Amino acid sequence: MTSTTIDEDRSEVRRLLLEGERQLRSGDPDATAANQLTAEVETIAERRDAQNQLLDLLSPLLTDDADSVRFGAASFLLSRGHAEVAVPVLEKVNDPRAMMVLDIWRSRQS
Amino acid sequence: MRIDRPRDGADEPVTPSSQDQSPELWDGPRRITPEERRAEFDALQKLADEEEAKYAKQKAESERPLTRTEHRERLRDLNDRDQADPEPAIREGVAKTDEKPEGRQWQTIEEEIGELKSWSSYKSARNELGTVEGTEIHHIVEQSQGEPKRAQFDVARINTSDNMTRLPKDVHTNISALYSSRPPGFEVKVRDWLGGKDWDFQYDYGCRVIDNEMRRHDDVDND
Repeated sequence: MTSTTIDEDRSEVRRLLLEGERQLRSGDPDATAANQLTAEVETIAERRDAQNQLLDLLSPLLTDDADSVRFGAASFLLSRGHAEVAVPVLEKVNDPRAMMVLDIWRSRQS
Repeated sequence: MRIDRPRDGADEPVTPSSQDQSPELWDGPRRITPEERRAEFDALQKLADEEEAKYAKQKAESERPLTRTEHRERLRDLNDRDQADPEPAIREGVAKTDEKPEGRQWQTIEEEIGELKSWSSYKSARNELGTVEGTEIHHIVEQSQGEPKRAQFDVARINTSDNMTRLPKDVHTNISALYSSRPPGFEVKVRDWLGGKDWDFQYDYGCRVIDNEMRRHDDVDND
């Protein structure tokens, strides 16, 4: 198995998130394909999380130019409990799903 | 005709004629007279007519468009049935009136036709409203929220003019796709998450999503 560097993984996560956004907003949007790309992002992120490298992988993406990249990175980080870095991004990012992610997280807190 | 049912404790069967002659000895069924049969039939017919009239009235009631007052009362009833809104602040700034809010790039069907009106199905709404080229009718609170596995909203409430709007086709399909997507790290789709929310929450969320998608749509057009 070929091992990848964390920079390569981050680059791949970014590509997958952008492609997922493109799938949702193309002339013929395909949510199934977008969800498949989300699953691929999760596979990479979970592997890095198991090596305690999740923040190293995703934190740089929280300041990306693309809303979809910032949202995707923050969403996964919040799901793994990194609220301190994820919540500020989700409160500002232009993606309607940010409200959903924050709502689920807050309901889990209470 | 011979009736086989014997008297209690008697070995001999009793005929109707013996019943007529000695009614005090007969404890079984007796022959129904034509008058009684007619009376029974009339009573049953009356009952059936009443049931039919009741059903017809209910059917007409359900198909009649709600008046504004009835609509508000119905909405209030539905809201009362729901649990308390978990995030009241989310509704701030979202006006739900028959006047289009300033700056909004889309209008509800209620604003288009100047009337708050409900239909018993989407098909009847579409037939009455007609089509506009390049657009599709979009439900702010989705039709799927009438399903048992989701919010179970009333179909007539979903097909009410304040819950429908005409959007460019691509905006409509993009919103539907967004509702079918799930965010990284979470198993639930947007549509299923909304299924646990009350009407006002879903309505306000739906308006925000349309605002957002219309802005993106216009940005693309202007590029």
